[in-house]
Amino acid sequence: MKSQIVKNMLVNMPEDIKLFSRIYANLVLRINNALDEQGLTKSELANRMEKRPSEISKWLNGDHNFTLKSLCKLQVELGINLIEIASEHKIHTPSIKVDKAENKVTQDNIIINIWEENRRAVNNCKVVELAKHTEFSNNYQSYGQ
Amino acid sequence: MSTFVLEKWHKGARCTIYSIRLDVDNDDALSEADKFFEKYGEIRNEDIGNAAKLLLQFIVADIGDVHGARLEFFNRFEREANALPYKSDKAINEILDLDNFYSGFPLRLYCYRVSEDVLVLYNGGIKTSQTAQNSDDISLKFYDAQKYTSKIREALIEGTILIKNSEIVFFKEIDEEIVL
Repeated sequence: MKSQIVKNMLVNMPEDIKLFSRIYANLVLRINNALDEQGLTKSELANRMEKRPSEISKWLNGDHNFTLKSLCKLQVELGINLIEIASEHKIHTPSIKVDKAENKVTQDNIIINIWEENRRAVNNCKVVELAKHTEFSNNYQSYGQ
Repeated sequence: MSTFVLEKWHKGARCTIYSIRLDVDNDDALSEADKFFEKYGEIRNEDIGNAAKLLLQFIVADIGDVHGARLEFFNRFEREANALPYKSDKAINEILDLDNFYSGFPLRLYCYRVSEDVLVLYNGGIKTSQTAQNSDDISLKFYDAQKYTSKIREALIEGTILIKNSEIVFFKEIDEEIVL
């Protein structure tokens, strides 16, 4: 970009907007990813969620319908962590340690705070399946084949 | 249709973002994306100003540097061109309030998602009606976006330009300015 005004806008970007953008991007990808993995349509997911309100809504206890925008504003204003979403990379690239000496693979903790169904799906994956998504894929080829 | 220059706007780690420059003879002239963000980012209306900043942050940081131009971000197809922000499925939107970033998001920015690592930004404006064609501020830009996209798409199909290392280059002269 050439515009100094636009460059300055980026440099001086308000923190709540940065946070909103980051969480929004991760949410969109997470939702689509979860739908793909579980073979659900969006309307099926909507039906499921209507029967079981989201953890966030329950936690905030109420019928008050918090939007992502208000959550981000609140998080910045209060300086506390109200919502935390692992990026897509954290879901698909869990830290996997390959110890060739002991011929074993260990998986570090995967932190996922929302989308319980998706979390179970990830944890139930075989290590081989997880490793396909990691940069360690070349290393594990010699393991357990 | 007049010609335009396809010029690099932001080189991100995951996506190279281009815009177009209508003033072909003036290298210093602003691109359409720069014009859009200057106009709406500096506007006195705080809602619109913040909306422009959010779009800018999303495009540069989240698309350009982190995720790339993932198809999931571009499900608002406006004929040939795309538009940002993302519009979610109505059923899911009612629960998560993710439509257009948030309810009543006022801006639309037209673009062409060439691939996950190449995105071209045009101009946009304030959406005041159900359809882009009926919104005074963006109706002309909507039609322009279709024309620009057709021209870029044709050049890619014909092989006049191609994608190389996440960048658009001329088939013959890599360093040549891309005028379409």
